[in-house]
Amino acid sequence: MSRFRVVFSSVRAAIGVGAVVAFSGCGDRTGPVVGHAFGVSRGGHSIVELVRAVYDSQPTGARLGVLTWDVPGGANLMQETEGANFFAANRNVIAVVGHNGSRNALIASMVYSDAHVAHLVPNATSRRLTTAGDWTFQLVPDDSAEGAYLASYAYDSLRAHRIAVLYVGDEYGTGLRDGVRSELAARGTDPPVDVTMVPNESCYSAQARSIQRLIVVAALRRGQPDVVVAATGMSNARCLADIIEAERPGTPILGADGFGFQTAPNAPVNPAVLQQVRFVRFWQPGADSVNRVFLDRWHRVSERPPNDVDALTYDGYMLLDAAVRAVGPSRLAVRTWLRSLGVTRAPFQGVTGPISFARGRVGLVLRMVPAQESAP
Amino acid sequence: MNRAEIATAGTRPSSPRLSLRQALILVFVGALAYVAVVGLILVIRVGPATQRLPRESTTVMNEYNQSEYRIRSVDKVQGELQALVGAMPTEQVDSGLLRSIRARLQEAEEDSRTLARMAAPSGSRTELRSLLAYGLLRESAWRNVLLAAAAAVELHDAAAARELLNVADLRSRPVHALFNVETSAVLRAVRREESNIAEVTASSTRLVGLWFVGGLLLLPVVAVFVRRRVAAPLAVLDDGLARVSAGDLSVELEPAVPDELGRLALHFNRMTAVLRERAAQEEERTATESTARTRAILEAALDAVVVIDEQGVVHEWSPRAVATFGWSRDEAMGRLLADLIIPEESRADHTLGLRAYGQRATTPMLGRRVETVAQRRDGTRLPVELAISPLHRQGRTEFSAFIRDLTEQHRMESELRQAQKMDAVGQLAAGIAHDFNNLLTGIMGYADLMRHDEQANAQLREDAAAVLAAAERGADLARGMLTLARRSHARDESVDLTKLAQEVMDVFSRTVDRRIEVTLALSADAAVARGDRSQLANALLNLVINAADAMPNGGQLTIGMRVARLDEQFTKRHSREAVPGEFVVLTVRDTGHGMSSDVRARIFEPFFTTKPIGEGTGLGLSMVYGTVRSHRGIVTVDSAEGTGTTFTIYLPLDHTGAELEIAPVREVRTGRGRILLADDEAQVRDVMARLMRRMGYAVELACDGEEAVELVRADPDRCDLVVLDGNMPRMTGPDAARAIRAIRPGLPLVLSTGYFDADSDETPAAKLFDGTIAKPFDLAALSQILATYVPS
Repeated sequence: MSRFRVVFSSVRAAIGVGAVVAFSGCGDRTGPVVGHAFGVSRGGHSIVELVRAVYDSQPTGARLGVLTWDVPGGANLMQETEGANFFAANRNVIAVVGHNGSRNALIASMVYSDAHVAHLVPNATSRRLTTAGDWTFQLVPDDSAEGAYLASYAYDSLRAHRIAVLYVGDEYGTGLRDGVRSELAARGTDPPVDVTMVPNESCYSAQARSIQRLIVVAALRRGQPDVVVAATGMSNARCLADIIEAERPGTPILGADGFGFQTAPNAPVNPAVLQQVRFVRFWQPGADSVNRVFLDRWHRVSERPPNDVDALTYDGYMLLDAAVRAVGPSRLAVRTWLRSLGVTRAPFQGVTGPISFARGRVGLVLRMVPAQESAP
Repeated sequence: MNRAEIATAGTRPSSPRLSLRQALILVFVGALAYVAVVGLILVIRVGPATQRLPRESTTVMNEYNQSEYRIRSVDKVQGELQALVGAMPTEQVDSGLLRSIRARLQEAEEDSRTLARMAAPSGSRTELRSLLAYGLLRESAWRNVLLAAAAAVELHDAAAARELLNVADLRSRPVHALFNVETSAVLRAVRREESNIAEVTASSTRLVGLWFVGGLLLLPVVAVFVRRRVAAPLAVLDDGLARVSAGDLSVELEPAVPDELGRLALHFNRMTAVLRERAAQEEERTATESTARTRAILEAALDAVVVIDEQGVVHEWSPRAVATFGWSRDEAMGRLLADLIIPEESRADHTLGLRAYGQRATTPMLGRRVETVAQRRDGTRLPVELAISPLHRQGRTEFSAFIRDLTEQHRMESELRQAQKMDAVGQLAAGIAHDFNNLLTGIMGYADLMRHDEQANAQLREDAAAVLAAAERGADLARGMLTLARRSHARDESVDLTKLAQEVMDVFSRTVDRRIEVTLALSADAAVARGDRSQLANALLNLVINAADAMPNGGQLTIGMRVARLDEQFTKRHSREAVPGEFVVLTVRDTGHGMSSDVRARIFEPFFTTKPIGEGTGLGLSMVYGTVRSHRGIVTVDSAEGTGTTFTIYLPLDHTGAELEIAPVREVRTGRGRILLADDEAQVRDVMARLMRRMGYAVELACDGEEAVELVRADPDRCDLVVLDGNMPRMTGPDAARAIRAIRPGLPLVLSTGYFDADSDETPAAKLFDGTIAKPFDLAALSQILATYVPS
């Protein structure tokens, strides 16, 4: 059992992918628990500590525990599957929160659907999760919705009419691309002036940078866009932003939640680029009582400001706490209770807004954040 | 009681065994499990392998085909780009082709991403998946270079385009090499699947084969189990039922196990017990009925039924045996038959017969009707008919003897012989009497003529009177003979027998020996019978005379008179003519020397007498017998030597009234008229004509009936009366009477007859006549008849 520990969520958007920190001494316990299906963020603040503190403050009869899963580094698909099977086999596990990223969450959701374990997914936006089954609860909108938000932001906020889309050819990129197209078609406006696939590669070499540059430049010259939607991940975000700024200075670059810059001390991001780049974020600290409580609790366990994944993960645990207190520590009862939100019950008031699953996650407010504000 | 164990054909188990239902369920479940195991082997081992092979093959081939298509498409794009780059210095870049190239590269990229998403690194395709994933990465890098090359062409950077195409060419090589490896891997995967299924199939086949062999080895055990638990008990039950259906109710099954068959055996035993009980009840009822029926038969039997064993001991003694032999049933049962009914002289033969049957199982007495003599309890003998049959009962042999008392039969046969003898004698006497009367008619007629001839001297008239008196005695003798033959012309009138007896005894007492004490024991009842008074008086007179003769040294003579009712049994036993009813019983009892049985058997025979010659005619008792029988009466005699004799006469009581006193008219009456007289006897015809003419009648003569008829036919009014002889040649008197009646119905007809034959044709024919003249007759009697029918 030494491999399974309390873990802390990794933040793929703001702090990079797969950084995990191992905790010890709080794994095994009897009674109902919630599985924490994230790798441990090494050196970070533990949301698990925060959640345990909250859970332990509950009355004895409805008190939940947190069962963690420790992996030595960034989990691959095999390890994600193994971890999901571990949680599913433990009858004390009422539900699971986690599995970072769409690929991992999709693999795990199949295991949990078969084992009838409610699976709360804080930060995976794959469209396929919306059809993963009754036991999967996505706490964020999918890629298409995010793409639609980007299109509407470019059209409404930036008054852009010539929108070009650069995307990577994976599930994430195509989802955003389709969301943009759908939103523009729904508005009855012109379609994107150019939709070009770019290599999902970083500009790690001169040849790679040359390839990216030729493709992006050709696309920009073809479309002459007012706004570029960069439906890519962090691997080539900085490269693309540099090329776009060099070719068409001052052109706004809009990224989704996975868009971000990998920074290095000896290679700072061009400030002109930072001025043009905006990211999507699922949460910003609010002033309401729920947010105040969350922030208060958060700062007790971490010096780092909470990001949206922290908030979404916290909301997941609070949802399960409310469910167990309402219907008891039963997998089926918890799932039924979650499905009833927004249908026969009022939406749950979470940190990230009202939560219900009648038609996917409803009530989450997307926000566009300038890259300058999100830079560490 | 036969007991058969129904639960097993073998030894009894020491521990409780399965019930029939459990055994059947066990066999059924076992068979089901046996088949299910085969099915499971096929489903679990062969099924998935056979299903996985096409699925895996199809998937692998689809992935392979997609990869092949995609690589070929990218190869084509590369070729098109090379063509574009080669033409760049001189020709305008085809922007449409470039869009197409970008689109196809983007499509290939998305396809490869989709394929990568589908490629889960598990199962038999792990190697292929790894190759595929690696190949997709290489493909992506290749396509990225081509995308860049297309962009370079679009940007008219020929040098960069060529350089990128060179890079693309370099990057395409590992892709193709990987594709070849992938192809090999595909083939290996398919072969592996095929090998796997072949191995699974072979091992499953072996497993199934072993399973079948095991099943075959287990089959005898199952067969023995089924035979012992099902077939054998059912066979025992079947055998028991067969025996019961064949009538053997003693069979009983022994349930070894309290299962269904055990309960069936218990029900079977209850059934046979009930059947046995019912059979016993039925047997008892049948025996009771049989006993009652036998008893009823024995009680109703007219013959005595006696059952004896081989030692001659009596085991059955019927009521008729009691009545016949005088021994009661209690007295007879258990005693030797020889001591009861077998005369002393026959007992040795009886003992020998029983002993002979014991030695040879047969004896001449069996199965036959034998007449012999038995004796009663009082020692008297009686003739019997004996029929003996052996009875084999319960291992013992008994003899049933049906003994018929022949006493009555012998008596009736004797009476029949007597009657036949009397009839024969009667026929003879009647013929003699008839001729005798004709002769007497002439004698008496002529004597009468002479006696009444006024011209004859006195001596002649006295002689005629003497002749007439002698003739009248002859007529009495003839009348006696006719009475014997019951063909006399008897009167039919009411006769007061009490008065008649007193008159007879009054006459008899004057002449009887004074040493004989005569007693009249007459009842006060009106003892009136219908008949001929003179015949009855003669009969009674004969009896008392015989009684007096039987007591030459004196004794007691008692005449009794009473009225009694005779039943049919009595009347039939003594007479064929007597009718049951009230009879006047007249007894004449003496204390004389009595009669032996031989004498007693012949006393009514005509001309039989024990008196010395000249003292008796032998007709006295014969006349008594004839008179009584002609009056439809019965006469019996009871006599034994030394104890006296009793004659008893039974005459039907007449209820019409008392006797009328009619004074006989003896004067000769004269008359006038014409009489036609027909008689074949010339002498009779002559004397009758002379007598009639003397009375004043005109007489016309005919020789026979036919002549008389012709005369009447010639002149029906020629006469006022016709007198016809009864027995004439050519045409008898009755036949002539019929003919004359046909001619002249109102003409009076009188029958002139020498005897009255009750059985002859004259009897019904007599009704044709208006009157009858019995020959011989005297002048007065003839004149009375004629005066009656010839009008003056």
